[in-house]
Amino acid sequence: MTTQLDRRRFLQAGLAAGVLAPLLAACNLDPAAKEAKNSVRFSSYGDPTKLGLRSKLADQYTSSHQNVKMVFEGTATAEYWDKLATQMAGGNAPDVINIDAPRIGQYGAAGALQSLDKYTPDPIDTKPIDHNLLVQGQLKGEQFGIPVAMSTYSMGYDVTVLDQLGLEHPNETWTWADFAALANQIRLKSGKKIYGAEDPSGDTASLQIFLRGKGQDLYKDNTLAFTDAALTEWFEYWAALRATGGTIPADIAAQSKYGDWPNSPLVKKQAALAHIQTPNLKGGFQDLTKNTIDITLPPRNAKDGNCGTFPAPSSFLSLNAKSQRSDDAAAFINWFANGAEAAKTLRLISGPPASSAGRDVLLKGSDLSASEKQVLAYTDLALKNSAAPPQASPAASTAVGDLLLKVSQDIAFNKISIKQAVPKFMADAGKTLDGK
Amino acid sequence: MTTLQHAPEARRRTRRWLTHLALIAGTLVMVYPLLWMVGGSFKDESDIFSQLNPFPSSLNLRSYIAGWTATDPTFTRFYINSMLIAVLAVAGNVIACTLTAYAFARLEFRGKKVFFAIMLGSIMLPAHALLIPQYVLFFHLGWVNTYLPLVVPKFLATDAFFIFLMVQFIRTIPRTLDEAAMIDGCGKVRIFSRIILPLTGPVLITTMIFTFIWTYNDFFSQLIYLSYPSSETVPVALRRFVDATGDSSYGQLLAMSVLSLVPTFIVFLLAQRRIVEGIATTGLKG
Repeated sequence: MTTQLDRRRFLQAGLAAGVLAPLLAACNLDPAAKEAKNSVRFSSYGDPTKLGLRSKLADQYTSSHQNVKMVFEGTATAEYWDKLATQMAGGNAPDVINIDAPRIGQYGAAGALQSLDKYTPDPIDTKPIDHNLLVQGQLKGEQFGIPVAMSTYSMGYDVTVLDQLGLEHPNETWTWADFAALANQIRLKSGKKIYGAEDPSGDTASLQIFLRGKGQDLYKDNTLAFTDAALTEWFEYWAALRATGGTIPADIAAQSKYGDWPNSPLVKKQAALAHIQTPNLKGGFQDLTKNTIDITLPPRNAKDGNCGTFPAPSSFLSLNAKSQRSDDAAAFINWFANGAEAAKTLRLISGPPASSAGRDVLLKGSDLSASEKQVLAYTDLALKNSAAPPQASPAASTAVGDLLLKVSQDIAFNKISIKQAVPKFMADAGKTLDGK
Repeated sequence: MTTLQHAPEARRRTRRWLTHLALIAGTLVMVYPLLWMVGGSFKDESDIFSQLNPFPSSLNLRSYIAGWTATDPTFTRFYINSMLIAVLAVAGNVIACTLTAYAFARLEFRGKKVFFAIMLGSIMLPAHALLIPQYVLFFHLGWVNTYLPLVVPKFLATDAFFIFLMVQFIRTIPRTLDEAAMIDGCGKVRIFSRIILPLTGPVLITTMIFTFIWTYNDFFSQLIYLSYPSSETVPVALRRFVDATGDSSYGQLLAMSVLSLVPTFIVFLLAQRRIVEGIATTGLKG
């Protein structure tokens, strides 16, 4: 009996020790936590490759700058915003924050980010960055985010299919009429095996390109900036193509959302024309298909008309308003955005560098891959052909996008006529934007 | 006579066959996504979505090797982190929840009913309402970016569900055993350690298993409190493979997802019978 009790007591003591030892050790588990007090924290989002490269960048900066230690915090995109919101609310956000345009509006207006105007031109040099890019990181004329890379809307086409069918590749100054003609040709010449193009009638980015070509836009001052007639023309354009097989039928279109790469009609070889944001060309399209994909400017309204495209920063760097080491953080932002070392490490991982200094460094290098060359050449072309960017999207733009998708699907599935759909959409979208 | 007996026998047999067929069909529908995931992890990236057949043409381990090392640090570190947190959480819950449950089930103290009600109320409090206040608290304690916020609360009996489970279980242990021990000269601590604790075996196992699985699968708190790549856990690291703004490595994602299921799967296989036992004996039957 006594021996049994002893053994039990021994086990209990052992269990307690076994539990407490690692717990005490856990207090010191992460030495980085202690260093964080005199270092600069930098948070970023993206896939493992992107996070790996940015982490490497932080290390490079630390090793080349004596009195600064960059501490990197990386999170997958979908969860990054929840985490950032928690950190902001808890008063523990990083010094340098990788951020997107809608959040600059949100956090900048709430006073959580610092205006970068007092750090330009020294240490942050904004001259090498295209004006059309810079303004997208501004709030009421003040710079809150420095664009680091850019993404541009382009029209992608399947070179392999076009060559097999003996069709000419689209050129830079093609029009929406040329686009429709090519789409119908693809359908006919392939013996109705594939459709001509994707169906972007419910996609706000594509509608925006179409509208900007006509001198209109999606939004201005938080209201819709296009006419009923323009939207009617857009829906009728795609309805006509749907009837001839120039675009994919409603059921296929409903299953392919931009960003769901493996289901995209271009990857599945259901269609030979589809829009591509430049950073997605490689990973979202070219890597998933054996056919060759190339990109060109999106169609215009008329041969001598404006092209609707504009460069959009894929992400920005912002400075936390509560940062204890703002000067060091600002110096890092400049090094990241304009530096040769940063450009060489990041390459085109989120699109070409927003700074022309960064792009020059890459162009001088001799190790460019085929899709990197495509994107760099296209970016040059797009910058030459682009007009002033649109105003920042209103907060309700996501909801308006959902409305457009819904109404485009109702039209495609013949649930509603275009004549009825357009006024209904304009009214619903107007209400959404008014916050009613 | 014989024909009379044979007819219902045959009918019963056909009915049993039909039931089994329906069940097997149901199982196939349920298992298909899992098979698809396992199969996909062995396929080439471009074949994953273009083939309906869940079985790969060859066993290709490329995704596993690439996935394990795709992140910096590798998954070895993430598994160590996940296991450490899960094991500490299990220890904390087992120690703290049994003590608390014993107090609620057996001891008399002032305000017991109120405390019990508060404890039950905390089950119904949504985690989102607590998120920011907890974060602020842990931040001011200097615990953010350590494992402490994930582990220490477990040692303070914050998992009300397990306390409730154990209270229900301890109530089914006959009080006469306590009384007998008291006559032999046992105090409250000894009654706990010699009578109650040894008899709560099944419910302890249930607590351990569920704490392990829930902590291992817990995503959000690990995301919020751990910021450095080297302290990340498996579920958080898995999310890195899918990204709307860049490349998604589906092959590696599927391969690592398969591996991430292994610990839960092993725990469940080993303890499946005990889980049922623990639930069945606590009076929590539906």
